[in-house]
Amino acid sequence: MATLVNIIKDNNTDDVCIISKSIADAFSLVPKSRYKLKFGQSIVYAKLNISEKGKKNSIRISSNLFSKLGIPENLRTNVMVKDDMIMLGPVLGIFTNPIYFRKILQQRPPQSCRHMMNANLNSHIFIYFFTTKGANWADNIIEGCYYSLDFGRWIKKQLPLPDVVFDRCVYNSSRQVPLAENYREHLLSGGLIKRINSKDNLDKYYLYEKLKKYPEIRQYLPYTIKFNSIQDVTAMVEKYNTVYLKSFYGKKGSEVMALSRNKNKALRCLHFHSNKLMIDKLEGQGHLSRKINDFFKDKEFVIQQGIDLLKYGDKRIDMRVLIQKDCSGKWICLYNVAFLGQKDSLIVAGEEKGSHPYNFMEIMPLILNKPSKYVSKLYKIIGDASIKIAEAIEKEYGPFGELGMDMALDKNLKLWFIEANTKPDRQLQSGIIGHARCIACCFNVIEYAKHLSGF
Amino acid sequence: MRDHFYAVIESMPARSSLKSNSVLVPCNIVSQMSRPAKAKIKFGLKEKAVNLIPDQNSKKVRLPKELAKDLNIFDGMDVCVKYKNDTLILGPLVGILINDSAFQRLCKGKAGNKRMRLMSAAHRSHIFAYFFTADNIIWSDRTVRGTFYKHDTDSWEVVQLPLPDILYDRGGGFSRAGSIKALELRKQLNNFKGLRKVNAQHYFSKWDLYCRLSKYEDIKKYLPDTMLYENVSTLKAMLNKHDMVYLKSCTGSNGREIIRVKKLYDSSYEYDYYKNSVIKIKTDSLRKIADAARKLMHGRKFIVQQGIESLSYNGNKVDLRALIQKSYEGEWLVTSLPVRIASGGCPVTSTKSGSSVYKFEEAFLDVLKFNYKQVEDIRKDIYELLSAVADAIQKEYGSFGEMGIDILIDNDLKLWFIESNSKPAKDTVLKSGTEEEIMKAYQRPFEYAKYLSGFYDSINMENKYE
Repeated sequence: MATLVNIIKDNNTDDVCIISKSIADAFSLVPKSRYKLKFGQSIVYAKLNISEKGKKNSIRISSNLFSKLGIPENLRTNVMVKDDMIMLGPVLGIFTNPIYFRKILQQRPPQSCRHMMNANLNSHIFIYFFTTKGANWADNIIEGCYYSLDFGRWIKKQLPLPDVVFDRCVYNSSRQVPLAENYREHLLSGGLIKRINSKDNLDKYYLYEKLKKYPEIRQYLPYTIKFNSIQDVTAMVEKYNTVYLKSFYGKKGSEVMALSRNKNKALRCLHFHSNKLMIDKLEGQGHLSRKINDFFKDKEFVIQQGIDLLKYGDKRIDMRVLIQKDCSGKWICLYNVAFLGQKDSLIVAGEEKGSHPYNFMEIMPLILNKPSKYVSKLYKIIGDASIKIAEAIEKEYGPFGELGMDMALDKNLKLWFIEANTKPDRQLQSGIIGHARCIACCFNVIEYAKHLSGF
Repeated sequence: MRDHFYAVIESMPARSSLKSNSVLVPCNIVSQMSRPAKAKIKFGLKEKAVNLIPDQNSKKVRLPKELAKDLNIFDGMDVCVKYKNDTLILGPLVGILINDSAFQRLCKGKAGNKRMRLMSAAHRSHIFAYFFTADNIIWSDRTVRGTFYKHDTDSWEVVQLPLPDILYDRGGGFSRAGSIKALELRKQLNNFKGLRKVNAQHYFSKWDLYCRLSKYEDIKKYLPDTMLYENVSTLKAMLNKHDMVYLKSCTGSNGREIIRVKKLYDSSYEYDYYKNSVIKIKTDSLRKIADAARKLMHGRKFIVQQGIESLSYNGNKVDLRALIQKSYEGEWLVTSLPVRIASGGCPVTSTKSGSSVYKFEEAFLDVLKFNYKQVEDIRKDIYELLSAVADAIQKEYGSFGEMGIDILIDNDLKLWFIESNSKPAKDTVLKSGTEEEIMKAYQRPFEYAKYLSGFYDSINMENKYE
């Protein structure tokens, strides 16, 4: 069991580590022997001394080791002993995009960042943020940014590589892609750093191909094929009347096109262009083909069976379900947010695209006109199905700590799985799911990181 | 004087009589040593503690298979060996950075003349050199996936190798993603203290180079008047001063992204550039020229440079592209001094635009009909310019092992320094040089690599000419 300690820098430089008696006893440490001291991925050797007096629950580390380890001064964190290794931390590195990182450096941390720090108030793991800049693979250090309680502000420091990486690097420019991929590759190449999520993204087609093998899940999957020719599109429209074309890695509904045919067989095409809904009538196959080429350019995309989504008035509804692992590694459902799309829009995307988020439990009784008992049963069914799908995803790709599941209900309240997101949006207003829930989402990540790193 | 040895490295099966970290070394390499001793073995950036055993019976360095695998050494490698400061150094290991598509071609065994020449030159110098790209680097293990030519089997092998001790940066022509990765890679490699580079910089920005060099009095006289383009008035100001100007992108190469603008008598302008063919346009609006320039330069920064009325042959521009390289003693040598003559009135003389290339004497004596005395005077002046420029560049940017320097000669036989290239492609040498010159041009960087990594003891940092 990990114990909380204060880590103090000692002025001597002779590779020693002075531990208070309480901790030495708790972990039955042997004085005068050599131990490995580990903080993140940096390890040093130290001779152990035990101090009878002095502060309780403290570890004094000689200054030369202190700087080698890259520990911030006056850190209060956990200690754990495994064989001859004294582990401090654990160190959770949160990988963000440069803009997010810059905001933190300017002492204007985004809300999701503040939630993370609040969630850590009792867990005391060491959290730092880093971006696609400032790594030094020669010395295995990275320039990160952590919150110092002493100074009450965010501080930039050369830090060791973390025990666990939480990948939250959502690109905001295509320039970041090769750099971020580079960073991921290097962080993982040694095989020592754990990840909250085994993959940084899940594409829409191969995921479908893998999941359809599972009979218990197949019922949730809309029929999906990879685009090869325009004939595929027309055949799918013929069969389903409404289809969605989605690029493999598109996000926030910006690379989604909906095609729908009315009773008179006139084809309509909907998509978002810089957050504005565009609706075009398509005349003939040539027009359709041109439209598709212009929209997807050389990106790969899938054709997905359209679902007759549940409607509230003339607004369609879909759901974002967040599921996470708890401290024991068991999946739990954290929230379900229902998005009401723009009027008459076949595509329900984020708030910037005119949709409105509501707490599932609050809006559904109105939509379905059913008592809340019925709705909570539905909530549980959706959560359980999401977890079932997540378990299948894990079988295919390795463990995940959290997944944002896009689920939908059709007119007959049949449940569908649309896609899974490895970096679910954390900008949700706490007004919808409640402040406590927001903190809980972060707390689960922290506890899962502890679980992964053996604390 | 050579004070290192050449040896073949061979792995051997584990023997019960030897410890797993024993390395057998021919006696002459470790002449100071009479008994087995603890030491380190180093290959590229990888180091291991070993037990060195002097061996009288073999001329080969032999080490256990497991250790060879740890160090990513393989059988039959023929390299330089030196024992210094309790370390047995194998190498130098030279990593040649190239772009991804070139790397893929090599992996498939498709090597062009230039890359084959690089591999043979390394082989002749007893250096192990490999090609790599910005992908597939495992920093934690200090290895990278590289490819090299195996002479005995005439094949390209793709293997995991230690990061090199010498970086020979030949990386250009990257894709967009590739160039971002390459920049990051170069930054990361700079963090390794043991790693040295043949060239301190992988490119020169023309504007930055001009600003830095114009501080030197002895070089200023060679520099054409240059300004960084800000708006049309920059162009206007330059054209008021000079009858002809060149617009050049700060980072362009191979004659791409260059526009020549001439003032005509009727106060209109004519500009031409090379893009697959020579394109010539007459206009009276400077704004149109500026728009064309911005388009051709893809919005990159560019300079406006005074055009020099250079020596010409049948109306075609003549220029010189000197290749200077450092020797194994770290001294500057002029490897070749070819003269390029443009073809068909092309505004650039890049070999890509179909120019002809001549040897220095051939061009001046036979083609341009100068007399012997004149040619020797010009040569002397050129050597003076090269020396001054190379010195200044090193003072500003750090040490270089090779450089291509473009020189123009005007009608008064005055010399002008146009630009310097930190990754000279040696096309001109290949076109005009003798086989011996070509071999030298490819071999010198490797000999210099030995100098850089301490295989020659004599330290002489003064820059001299042949």
